[in-house]
Amino acid sequence: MVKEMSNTRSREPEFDELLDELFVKIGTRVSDPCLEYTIYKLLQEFDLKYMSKTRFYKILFLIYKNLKNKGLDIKLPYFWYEHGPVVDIYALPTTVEFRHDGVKNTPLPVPKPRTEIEYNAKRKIDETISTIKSKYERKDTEFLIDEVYKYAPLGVQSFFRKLLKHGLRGDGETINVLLTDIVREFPKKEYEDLYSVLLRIVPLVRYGIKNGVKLDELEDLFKIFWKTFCQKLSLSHNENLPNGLVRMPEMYKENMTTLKQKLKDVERGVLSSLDRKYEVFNPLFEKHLEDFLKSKGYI
Amino acid sequence: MNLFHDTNSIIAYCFINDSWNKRAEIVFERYPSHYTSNRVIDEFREKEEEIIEEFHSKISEFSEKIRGSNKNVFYVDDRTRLPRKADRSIQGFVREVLELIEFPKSREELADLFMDLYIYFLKVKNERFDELIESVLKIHSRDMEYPELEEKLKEIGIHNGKRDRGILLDAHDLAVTSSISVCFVTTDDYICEENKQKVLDLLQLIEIIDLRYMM
Repeated sequence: MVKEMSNTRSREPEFDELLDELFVKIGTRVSDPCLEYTIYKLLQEFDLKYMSKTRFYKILFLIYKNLKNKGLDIKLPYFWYEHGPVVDIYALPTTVEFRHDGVKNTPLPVPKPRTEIEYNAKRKIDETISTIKSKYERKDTEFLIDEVYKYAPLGVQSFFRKLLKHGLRGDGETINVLLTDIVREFPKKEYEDLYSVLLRIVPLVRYGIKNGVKLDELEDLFKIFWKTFCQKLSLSHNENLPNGLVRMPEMYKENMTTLKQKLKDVERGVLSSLDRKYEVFNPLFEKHLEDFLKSKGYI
Repeated sequence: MNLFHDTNSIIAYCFINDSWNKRAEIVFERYPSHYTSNRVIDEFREKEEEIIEEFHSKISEFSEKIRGSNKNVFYVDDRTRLPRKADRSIQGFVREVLELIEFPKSREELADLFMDLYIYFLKVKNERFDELIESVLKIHSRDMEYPELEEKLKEIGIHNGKRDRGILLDAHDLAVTSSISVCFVTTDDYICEENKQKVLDLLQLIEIIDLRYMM
């Protein structure tokens, strides 16, 4: 469980609202003593002036994954979302308090757990925290997100992250390659409803880039798509959530409606900004399309 | 003659790949007075999404499959192989396009060609719909409910109450409230063939016209 020490909002208000909505009133905690000790030790060992709420969660996840590779499961409650794994803060076995210093929320040390854990488990945790500290203590949040993304359950997530980091205003060739990767890696069967939307967004983005039109709107559309995708992702890719993700299915449904409306608006905007009919097409295509349409009796 | 267009008539005009597009073009060009209703426009908005997802998105998907292919160049032999990569619903269409183009083509050229085709279809659809709304169609909005007539339409087997019965009643209401002669234009077999006379006996329509055979 996490307490805010200040009324000032963190730099991720929307994210906090999401967590509040999902977890706050349910309150069953994971009662794993190893997880409790890990949180205590992490906040003891790391220099907290470099720590923020987001970085705390990413580091906790990296420790969890490292320990799991060593055969120790500390049962971290988390789900995958836009910026990597999100820890169910309200289900942690110990209450972590944060102090807002005007820039970020810094976690405060927690009291030593009353329950002693087994020697081998303690040794593994201590060693892992030491290794993670040396690798990540002073790294920035974006670096940490890239690191947790190495554990992303679906290949397509990394391509989405790269594209969103890159933006649509950069090198067009890179964007086009990333779009191809996204379509190729997209889990078509599991996310069928979103796949048909993706197939409409991708040509618009390619066209928008090619013609330099509506790039801000297309980027917004892509972000909404990604958020919607992550809402569905969170429902199938999570672990140890004692309370589940109660509001997420409803939020996903709402976001799908928003996404489809936005798609229609942006699609109309991009299409109307193009020159009429074939004028924008290369002459080769123009000739063949015209022949084709005539042969079909379309024109 | 005042024509009242059912949703499928507007779809046929707006989507240039629709089987009845040419007929719809002639009808809109040849006759001076065209009506529809707000209910039809709402249904069009829903149907256009389905059509784009079921047909046009497959063209986009095919374009992406080409783009993600390991082959850098496609040769004339690929004319027979490539359609198999497309969704079954557009294989015939893809085959015809491939017959018309010259090979060899680079992967990007071929992918762009199908993407352009996808964009082109949607752009024309939007332009045609806007044109209809802005300068061709007069959109009728019905206030009367006609519960007895609706019940009788239901009895003769016109289902899908909010849509099919509602749209027929819109056309009837237009004829009643505006005192004009109205012909209902559709491609719906159930209305054009099986129940045509029964519908005409019930409603104040002078004719039900099957767009598919209208010349």
